[in-house]
Amino acid sequence: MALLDVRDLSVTFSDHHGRRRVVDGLSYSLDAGGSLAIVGESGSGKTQSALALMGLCGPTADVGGSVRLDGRELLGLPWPALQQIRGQRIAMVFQDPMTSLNPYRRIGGQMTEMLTLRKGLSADAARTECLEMLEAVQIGDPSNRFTQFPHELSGGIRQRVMIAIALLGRPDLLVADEPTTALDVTVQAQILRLLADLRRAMGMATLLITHDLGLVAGLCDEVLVMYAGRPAEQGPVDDVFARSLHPYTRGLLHSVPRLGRDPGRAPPARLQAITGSPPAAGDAGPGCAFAPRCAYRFGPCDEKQPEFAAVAGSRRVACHLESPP
Amino acid sequence: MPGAVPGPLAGEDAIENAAQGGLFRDAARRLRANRAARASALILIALTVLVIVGPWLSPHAYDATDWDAISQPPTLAGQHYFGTDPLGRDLFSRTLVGGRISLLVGIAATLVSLLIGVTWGATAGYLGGRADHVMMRIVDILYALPFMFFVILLMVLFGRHLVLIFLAIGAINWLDMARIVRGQTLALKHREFVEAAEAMGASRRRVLRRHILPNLVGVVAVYATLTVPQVILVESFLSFLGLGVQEPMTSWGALVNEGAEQMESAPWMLIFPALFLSVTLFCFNFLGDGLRDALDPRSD
Repeated sequence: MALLDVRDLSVTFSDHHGRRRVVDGLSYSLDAGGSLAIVGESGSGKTQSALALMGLCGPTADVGGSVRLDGRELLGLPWPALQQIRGQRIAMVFQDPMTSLNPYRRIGGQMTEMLTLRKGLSADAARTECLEMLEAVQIGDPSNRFTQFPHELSGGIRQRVMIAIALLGRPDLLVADEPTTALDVTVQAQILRLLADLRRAMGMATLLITHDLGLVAGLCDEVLVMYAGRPAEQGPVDDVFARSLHPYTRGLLHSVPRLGRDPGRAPPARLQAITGSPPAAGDAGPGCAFAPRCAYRFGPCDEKQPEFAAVAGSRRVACHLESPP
Repeated sequence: MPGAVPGPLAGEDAIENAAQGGLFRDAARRLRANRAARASALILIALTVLVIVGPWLSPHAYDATDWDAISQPPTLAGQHYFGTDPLGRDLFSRTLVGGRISLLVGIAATLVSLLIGVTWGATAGYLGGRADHVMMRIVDILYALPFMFFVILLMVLFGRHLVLIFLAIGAINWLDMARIVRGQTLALKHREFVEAAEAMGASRRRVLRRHILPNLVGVVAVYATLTVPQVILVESFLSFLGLGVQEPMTSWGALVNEGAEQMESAPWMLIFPALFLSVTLFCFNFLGDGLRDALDPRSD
């Protein structure tokens, strides 16, 4: 049985402007120790879909579908029951390490809280364990870091602290929501390598949320591409990169610059941007949300939403080209 | 501050203490380093001691008439250091006795409004949704209630009492406090560290106590120190209307009112109470400023 099984997940926000479905029909499953990347551009619903796993979308959100952790339904659980899951079973690393730590509290206090409060450890035992964890995420001089305030640390160190905090609960699933977006490139690489190492060492499953296809290759086995709140394509990373089935995935891949071409060959072609811009969440018409920007658009694209159907083994794609209506 | 100070964190003991002691130990240290705030705090302490013990040391009782000294300017000879009022009462004693009332009302009413306002505002802001709606509409309704009507109602129902003045003023002031705190909380709630704490499985109460409230301290401290002077002035207004403290008891606000009427014939009646009042207000403002800076860990 899969560790995490998400079926037909939807997130709808209602306000005085009406209803907006920012995530729609999202399904995936993740095995224990497995890794999945959810890729999409800003506003594609990827963050909300991750928050929905833990019931953190906020009171104005209406979450539908099913999220099962070890077969147990998480959606609709009351807050106290979710508290048992958050941090212990599913932990999360957020996008911006500059704002994810409480500026008014020392690193030590923010770390030990998890252990003293949730696991009932004594202050000393918690401290020891936290220092070990800080070393595990390769922070030098942990006992000094312990007494510092977040503003005294660099972005990379803060993100390591966030990862350490997330790992303290020994979660089965680590959700990393754009963990490197706010960091510079060299630090990005270190953090990603760290995440990959820790995943192997601790045997936890990883769900990586990102807009950067470049990150996916190194860290994850599976990739799920989202567009306008809906899944577009899913499959093993290598297969999707080698032969992407959805025009949107191809567009994404073409728009990533590549280093290291042969110097003797012709200069690389201009990067191809995907023309147009994505629809606002929930604004999609009756047809395929990508149709207005798609070069391969034909008859049914404007009329009917393509099914997110299985094709060729373990891959799935939502495109009329692959599975004609 | 440039030129990092290694002092307080040097030594293993200091590190241990700092890690456990948290924000307030640091804040106290930073507050001591702030000259204006430190001077203000000392002046306020001195003032408090003076108004408590001063009236006993004064040769004249605050409500005794000295028939030989009616409207007398300040002299050292007659031991009326601040002069006397038209009823021959010693202004030095009266200023100190009035200070007791003013400081007491100022601080007690501020604490009442702090306690209710912060709890109410932070809860409403953090819970959000329907709870927030209901709680803030209650604030709106109380806001619409005319202040004087409310005070008169209290007086009629319970008679005139000093505690009622605290309650009345506190009960009005917490509304502003609740609104300010709610606004701040709304902003904090969507900060990532609050989300991160929730994602770690912290309970709502804990998020509120450990993550929201400490981040509110700066705003609240400043607003509280602004409230103290405001409350002292409201008390003087109540006294002026005959709803506050009654003759022969007095307060700074009441003394300033009397003094203002006699400004041309007996300026000392205005000068001394006004001096005490404004020094107090200044000190509270400086102290509030200092507190806000001291409570921000980033100000080191």
